[in-house]
Amino acid sequence: MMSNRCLFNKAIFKSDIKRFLPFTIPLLILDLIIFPIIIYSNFNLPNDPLDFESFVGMSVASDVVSFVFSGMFALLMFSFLYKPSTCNAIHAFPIGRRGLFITSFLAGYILLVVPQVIGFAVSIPGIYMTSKVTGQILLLQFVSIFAESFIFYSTGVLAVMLAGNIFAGAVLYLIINFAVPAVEAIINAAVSNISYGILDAFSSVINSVVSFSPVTELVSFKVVLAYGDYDSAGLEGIKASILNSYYPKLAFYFAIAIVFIALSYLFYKKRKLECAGDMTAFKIEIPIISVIVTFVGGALLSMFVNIFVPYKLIGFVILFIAFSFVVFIVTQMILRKTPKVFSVKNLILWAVTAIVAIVGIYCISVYRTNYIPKPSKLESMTVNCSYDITIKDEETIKEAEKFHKALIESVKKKPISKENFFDRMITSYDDSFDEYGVTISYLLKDGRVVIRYYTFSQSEKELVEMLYELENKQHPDSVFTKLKGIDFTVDSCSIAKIFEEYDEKYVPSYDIDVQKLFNSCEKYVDSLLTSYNSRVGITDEKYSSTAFEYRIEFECSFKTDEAQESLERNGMYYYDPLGNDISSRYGYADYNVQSKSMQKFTVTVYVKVDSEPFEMINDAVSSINASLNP
Amino acid sequence: MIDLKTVVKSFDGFNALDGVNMHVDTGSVYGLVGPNGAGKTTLMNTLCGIYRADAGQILVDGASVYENNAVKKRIVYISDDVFYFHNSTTDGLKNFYKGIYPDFDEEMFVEYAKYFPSINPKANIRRLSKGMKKQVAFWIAICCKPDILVLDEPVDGLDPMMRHQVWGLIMNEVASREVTVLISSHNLRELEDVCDTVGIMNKGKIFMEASLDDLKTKLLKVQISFAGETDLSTLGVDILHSKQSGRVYELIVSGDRDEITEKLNKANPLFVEELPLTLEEIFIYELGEADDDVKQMLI
Repeated sequence: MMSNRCLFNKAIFKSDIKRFLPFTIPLLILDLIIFPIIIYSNFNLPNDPLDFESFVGMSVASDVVSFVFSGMFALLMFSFLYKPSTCNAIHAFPIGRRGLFITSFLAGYILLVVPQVIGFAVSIPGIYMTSKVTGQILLLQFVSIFAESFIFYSTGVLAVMLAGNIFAGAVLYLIINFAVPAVEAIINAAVSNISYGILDAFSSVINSVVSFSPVTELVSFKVVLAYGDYDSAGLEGIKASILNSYYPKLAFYFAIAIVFIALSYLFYKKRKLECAGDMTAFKIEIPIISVIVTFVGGALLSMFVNIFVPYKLIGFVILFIAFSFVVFIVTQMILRKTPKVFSVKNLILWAVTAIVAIVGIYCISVYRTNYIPKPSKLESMTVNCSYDITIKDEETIKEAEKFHKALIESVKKKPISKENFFDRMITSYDDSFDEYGVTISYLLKDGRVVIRYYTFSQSEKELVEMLYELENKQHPDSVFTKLKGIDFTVDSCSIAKIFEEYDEKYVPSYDIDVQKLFNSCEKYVDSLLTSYNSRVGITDEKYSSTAFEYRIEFECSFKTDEAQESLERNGMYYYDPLGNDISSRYGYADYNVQSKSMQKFTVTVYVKVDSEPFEMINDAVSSINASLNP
Repeated sequence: MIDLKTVVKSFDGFNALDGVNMHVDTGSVYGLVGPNGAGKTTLMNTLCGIYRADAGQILVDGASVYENNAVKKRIVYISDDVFYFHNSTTDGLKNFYKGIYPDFDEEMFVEYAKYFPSINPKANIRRLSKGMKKQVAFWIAICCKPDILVLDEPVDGLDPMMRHQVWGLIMNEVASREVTVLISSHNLRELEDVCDTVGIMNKGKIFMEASLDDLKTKLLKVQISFAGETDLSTLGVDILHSKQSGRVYELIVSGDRDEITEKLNKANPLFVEELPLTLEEIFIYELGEADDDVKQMLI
C-alpha cells in the first residue's frame, strides 16, 4: 500500500465517500424528479404515451444537472488543495500525488454517477409501460450518464488543478467550458457592431468556427433532437442522423476528457502546494486569464455603452481602451490579491491586448464586410427584398454576386466625410419607403451560412435594376397553385389583416370547397405580383393607402401520412436552416405541434394586395360561405 | 538520520530557506528556534515532503523524502494548525489515520485515552478548543508509532498540566522506541527541558546548531569577588560578558570548565561560585554579533 507506485488509497477513498455522500442527495432528488416522477405520473395518461422528444428533453435537463454537479464534485474532492493546513497535512501523509489524484478522482466520479444511475434505473420499468420509447433512448441516457458526466467532471478537475482556491476553481470551470464560444460570440458581436452588412452577431457565419464547449455542444445535440425542426429527410431520418452525429462528438469529447485528466495529473504533480489559497496554481495563468477577461469584459462593456454612441467604430475603440484597462487592472488585482499591479510589464501586457483586440476586430470587420463566398463553395443562395429568391443555377448566382458586389461598392463610393467615414461601416436597416432592405444569404456546401443585410436608396438606379432583374427571374408560384395538387380537407380557416387584428374574420368550416376558395383568392395573388413590380416609385402616401397584407390560415387534414412530403415537394413545407422567420414568405405549412399528428398541418398564406383589399376578403368569405351552404 | 544539505526553497523570489544545512541524530530531540518568518515552518513542510525543495537534498537515512511513501510513512507531522476533516470525530480521525499509517496501534490508542480525559472520542473535533484539538493530534500521532515526529509549535494552546503530560508521552516514545523528534518553537524556554540539540534559525538559515550538553560545558557563569581592584583581562580566561556590582563580578566565561576554575583560583578571589546558566544566556552569548531580532526573540 505504501509503495510509490500506489494508485489507490482505501482510507482516502472511504473518507471521501463518507464525507461527501450528503452532497449526492440533491443530485439524486433532482434525477428522481427528472425521470421517475415524471414518468410514473404519466400512468394516469394511458392515451398520451411519452414520446421520444419528451425523453430527450429529460435527458437535456439531466445533463444540465450533471454539469453543475460535476463541477461541484470536482471542487469538493480536491478541495484539500485550497486550504493550506489541510493541503499540507494531506500531502504529509505517505500517499503519493498519483495515488491521491486517482483515489479522489474515482471517489468523485462514483459519487456523481451513482445517483444518476439510480434515478434513471428506477424509471426504466415505467418507461416500458408508459411510452413508445425503445432501447434507443435507454442507451442514449445511459451513455450520457457515464460519458457526459466523465467529460464534465474531467473539465472540472482540470479547472481545480489550475486554481488556487474554490472560487477561482468554479470560475475556471466555466471558463474552460464556455470561453471559446463566448469569445467567438463576442468577436462576432463586436464585428457586427462596427461592420456594414452584418446585422447581428449570429448572422455573419453560423457554425463556422471549430468550437470547443463540451456542455454546449453535447446538450445542443439533444435540444435539436427534442425540439428541432426537421427537413425533408423526414423526422425519423433526421433523428437517426442527429443521433449518429451525437456519438462521434461524444467520443471526441471523451478523448478530450482523457487528455484533460492526463493534463490535470501533470498540473497536480507540478503544482506548488504553497499556492493553496491563491487565485491560480501557476503564475503563468495570470497573464493568460487577464488577457481573456480583459478582451471579453472590455468588449462586452464597450458594446453595451456603444449603443448610445453615434460613431460606432471610433466609439468602440475609445470605449474599449477605457473599459479594457479597467477590466485588466481589476482582474490583475483579483488574481494577484494586491492593489499593486501598476507595473510597466502589466501596462505593456494590457496595451498589447488592447491593440491586438482592436486591430483584430477591425480586420475581421473589413474582411467580413467585403466577404463574398466563392461560387464553387455554394450550395445555394437566397436574395430577399420583398420575397425570397432561392438561386441554385450558376448563371443566376453570378448575377446575384454581381449585385452583392455592387452593394458593397455603393457603400465605398459614398463620399467620405468626418461624419460618415465611420457611419458608412454601420448597418442600419432603414425601413422607410425610399429605401430598400435586401438580405443576401449564402448556404455553403459545408453547411455554413453567411447572411448580409443592406439598405439602398431607390435613387440608386443601377442597384434597383439589378434587384428587379433578379426578382423577375424567379418569382414565387402562387401558393394556391401549390396547394391544389395536394389532397386535403380544411378543418377551419381564419383570415386576418396583418397589423389590424380587429379585422380578423374567423370562419370555422369542415367542408370548404378549397378549389373555389383558392380560385377566388388567386387573382389577387396574381395582381400582387404585378403590383409588387409596379411598386417602384410610388410615394409613401400612395403605398400606405393602397398596400395591404392578409394572412389566411387553414387548419388542414391531409389524407395521407405523406402530407409533409407532398407539401415539401410543392415548396410549402421546408426546414429553414437559416432559422429565418418563414412567415415572411408568401405561404408555408407547419407541422401541427399541438396534435403531433403527421396528418394535421396549419397552412398559412400571406397575400399582399394594393387595391380594394376588402374585395378579396369578401370574395374569400363568400367562397367559404358558399362551401358551407352549397 | 535526518540530513538537510544546502536546501533552498523560495516563494516569489524570496528565499524562505536559503541553503539550510542540518543534521538530526536518531533518537534525539532537535529544537528549531527562530523568530517569526525565520523559515521554521517552511523547513518542516519541506522536511515532511510537502514542499519540494528548489535546491539541495533532504534525506532520511539516506533516502529522499519528497514523494517517497516508504520514508513518509515513518514521519508524522503535527502542524500548528491541527488537521482534521470538517465533521470528523476523534474516533473517525483515528480510523482514518489507521488506514494511512500501517503501524497504527489501536490498543495504544485505547490505553492512552487516560492521558486525555477531557476528549470525548465521539465528539466533533470542530467543536473542541484549540488546546483540545492539539491533544487529539498528539494522541493520534503517537499511536501512529512514527520513527520521526515533526512538531510545529506543538504545545501552543495547551495548559501547563497538559504540556507536561504531552512532553512526558513524547519523551517516553523517545526513550522506549528511539523516536526522533523535531520541534519548532520561538520560545527557547519551552525547549530547554526537552531538547538534546538546538538549531537557531533566522532569514532562512540555520546559523548555529549545537548540542545543549556541549554548550553547557563550554560556557561557565561564575560569581567572583576580589579583595582589591582587579584587571579582569589578567585572569587569562575568555570572558564573554562581565557585570560588576561593588567588588562582586558576574562573568560568563567560555572554555574548558576545569581550566577556567584553575585560572580563576590562581587570582586569589575572596570567593568564587559557579551559577546555573540558562539556555537563553548560552545562546545570547554564543550568538555574539548575531541579529538583534534573534537575541530579542531569545530574551
